[in-house]
Amino acid sequence: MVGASIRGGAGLRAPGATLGKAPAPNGGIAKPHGGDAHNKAIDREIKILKSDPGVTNVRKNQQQADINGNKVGTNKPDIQYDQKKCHHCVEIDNSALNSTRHGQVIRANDPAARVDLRRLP
Amino acid sequence: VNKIESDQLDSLVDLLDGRGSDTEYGALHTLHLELGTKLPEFLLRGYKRAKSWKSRSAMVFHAARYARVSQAAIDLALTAVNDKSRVVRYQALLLLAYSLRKDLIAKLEALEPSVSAESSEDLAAAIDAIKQQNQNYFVDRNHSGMVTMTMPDL
Repeated sequence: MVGASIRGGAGLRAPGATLGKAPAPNGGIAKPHGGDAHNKAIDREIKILKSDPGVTNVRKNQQQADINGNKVGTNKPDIQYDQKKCHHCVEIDNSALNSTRHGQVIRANDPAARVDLRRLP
Repeated sequence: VNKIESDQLDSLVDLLDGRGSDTEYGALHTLHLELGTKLPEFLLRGYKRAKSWKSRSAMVFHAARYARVSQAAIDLALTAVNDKSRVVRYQALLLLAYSLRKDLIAKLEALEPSVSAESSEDLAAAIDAIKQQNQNYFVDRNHSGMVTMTMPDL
């Protein structure tokens, strides 16, 4: 199981424990994240999400939150949003060096979150 | 592909360093356009040339999307599963899991006694994903149904 050694993870907190209130969702409007290709892929996906009226609380590269707006980790998923009473996290992996732990960290911080691990096209 | 073109393509392959930079993805897009599903053949050659684990990891990482259509991608992963780097082995096992090729199960099970301890869970997850015909199980180790792994279209 995921332990305290994973950066941005739950550490010694109980799984799903919160760290106070998360910053307000930035609506997907944030400074560029990563390289140009990576950032454009994130923004493309956010544009699609924001066209869906069932999607709320879109976040781009903000610290991990849960469905109740609580901060649950210091890691920053590429995209977060809420849909049908579920919190979703999307990671668009572009590096062969750091993609092995994204899903574990997110799930350890919030076992109720749905995680979509994608590759940058 | 003639000799000069092949050399140029090899040079582009050598730009794949795993950092995820725009330079790396620019090279990747050119390679994808030029080679299509033959790209893994060049990635396999690149893997054999690469000195750095980061470059070797990148070769496997970028071959993963071809796992269901390219034998060279499978051959690359079967080589890389014995790499001295845990990250490279992880990428290799992810590729094999994504392939969903049942004919690989016996080969993967044969690795179980000798695989590095730090990769044993990844190996078991790859075998599980193939047996269950669900690539998501490589990243969703307890079958929660809450974690998905998506590759770009070819």
